[in-house]
Amino acid sequence: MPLLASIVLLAQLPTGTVVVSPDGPVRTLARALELAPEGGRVVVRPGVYREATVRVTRPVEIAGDSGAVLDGEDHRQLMTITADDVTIRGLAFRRVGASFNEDRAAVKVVGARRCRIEDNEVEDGFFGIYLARTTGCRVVNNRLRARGRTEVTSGNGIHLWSSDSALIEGNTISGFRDGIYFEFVRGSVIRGNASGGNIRYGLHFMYSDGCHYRANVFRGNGSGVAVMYSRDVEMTGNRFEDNRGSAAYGLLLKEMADSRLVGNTFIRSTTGLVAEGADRLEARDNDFIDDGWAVRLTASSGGARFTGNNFIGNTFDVTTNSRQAFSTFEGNYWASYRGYDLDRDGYGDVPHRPVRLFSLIVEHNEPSLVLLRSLFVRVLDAAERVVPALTPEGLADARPAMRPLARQTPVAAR
Amino acid sequence: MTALRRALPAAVVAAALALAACAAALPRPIAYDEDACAFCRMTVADPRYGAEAVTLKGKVHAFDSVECLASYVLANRAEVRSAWVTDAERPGTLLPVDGARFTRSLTEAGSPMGLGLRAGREGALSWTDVLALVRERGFPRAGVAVLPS
Repeated sequence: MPLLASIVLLAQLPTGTVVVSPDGPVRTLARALELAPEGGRVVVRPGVYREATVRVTRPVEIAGDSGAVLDGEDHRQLMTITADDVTIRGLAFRRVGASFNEDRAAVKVVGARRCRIEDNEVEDGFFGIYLARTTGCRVVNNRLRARGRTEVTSGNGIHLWSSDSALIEGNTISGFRDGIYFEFVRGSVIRGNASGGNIRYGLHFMYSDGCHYRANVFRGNGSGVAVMYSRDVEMTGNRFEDNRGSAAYGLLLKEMADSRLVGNTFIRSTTGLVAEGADRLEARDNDFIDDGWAVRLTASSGGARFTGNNFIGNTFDVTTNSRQAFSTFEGNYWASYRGYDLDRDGYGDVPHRPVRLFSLIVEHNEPSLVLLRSLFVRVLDAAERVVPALTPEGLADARPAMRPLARQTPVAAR
Repeated sequence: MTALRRALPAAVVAAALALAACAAALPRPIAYDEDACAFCRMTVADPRYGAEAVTLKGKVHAFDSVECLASYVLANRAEVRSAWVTDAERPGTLLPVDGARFTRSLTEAGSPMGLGLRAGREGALSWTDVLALVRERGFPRAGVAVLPS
């Protein structure tokens, strides 16, 4: 009777579709992929499938019903795709085997074009979705969770190596080493993802030029977000939240050239933005709110421009390691500004110097931080502001805004 | 009492030796996910690649990769007393660089800094070769294509 039922069911399905079910004629994905024609479809009925790593070597779509689970029993990679035009949709991947010699993933795509990995779930991932030497792939609306650090190692949620023109959108990622990892990636977009609670970085760029990330939320990752050794990276409308610890920062920019940082929010972090060797960085319309250090700039960041940013409720707005001013600040709002606006043009008439003398002392001697709220330190800062002796004299905002600068979306819902 | 008087100088000498030993060229275990690389600033995470340098003053710097250790050593040669790399086959085991061998692989399972360097007990490259390679390639910088083909 079940056989008859499945024959009837098969008959109703369009040609080229193969159904996998725990009690039907086709019980493994491997068998279904042998039966499915090129460009065909494999439908996976609810059930838990435990089989050797599934190898997809021809263009095909694999669609899982809700409750279709591929289980790696902590021993293996779950799926390897080496063909172009493969779509994987609606599957749940469980228990990827951790290994310190092999980058095992729930889904690994190697040397393929135009893959679509959509609406899947990864639970207990080691690596989650892994693309190596791909072009034009889409990784959209997946939910990925890792088991955290195992004894020896940890992997990344969405990992791209040597790929181009990828779209990573609407994914939720937590518990991995790095939520999203890019190495040698070109011309790709990361949009609307939530990457939080990862061991190291929510997002990590290495040697990835011409990429764009927009409207993502990075919250409570071990060390924040690191974008390094890349050029021409556009970062817009992201939120960097709740990154606390001596080596944690909302965003670390290291050895970057010609990048744009526009309309982002840096909130409740030990350090909001660290820029080391960030040449010609354009930082515009960002909100730095309730951070310990809002912006730490090193002398090696030449030609950075900060305009139209809000600095509100930070212990230190800007610190630097040099007396030279190599960055410009103009038209920002500084909640700590003590000047006046007699000509009523909305901008203060005397420049604002955002680098506090005390921040230089802390830079050299961290324990002195306990004196932060003391009267002595306040007197010191005030004196320095009037007659700059140690802080970089040229580092000043000649047009400090008198009111917080309005945003299209309200300034950080606090 | 006399015994104590005799033992005291010995104890002082022992304590002094112990203090001196603290400044010796010995590495410490790397605190993965906590230590920041002294060269590239990344949080050290992959236990196959962690490395360390001990300075003449006894300060221990952690690195996330062979590449970063080599870059640091090239820039601070006069200050480095000893340098150590993880045996990638045995995470947690540090080898002195002069006794280690290195391999290079430019596959997706590369090293944290992209040159694909990996340390172990066997391999085609010596530490001198690694320094030469890193010096020749320069450390990867923004916009410099190092894309493996």
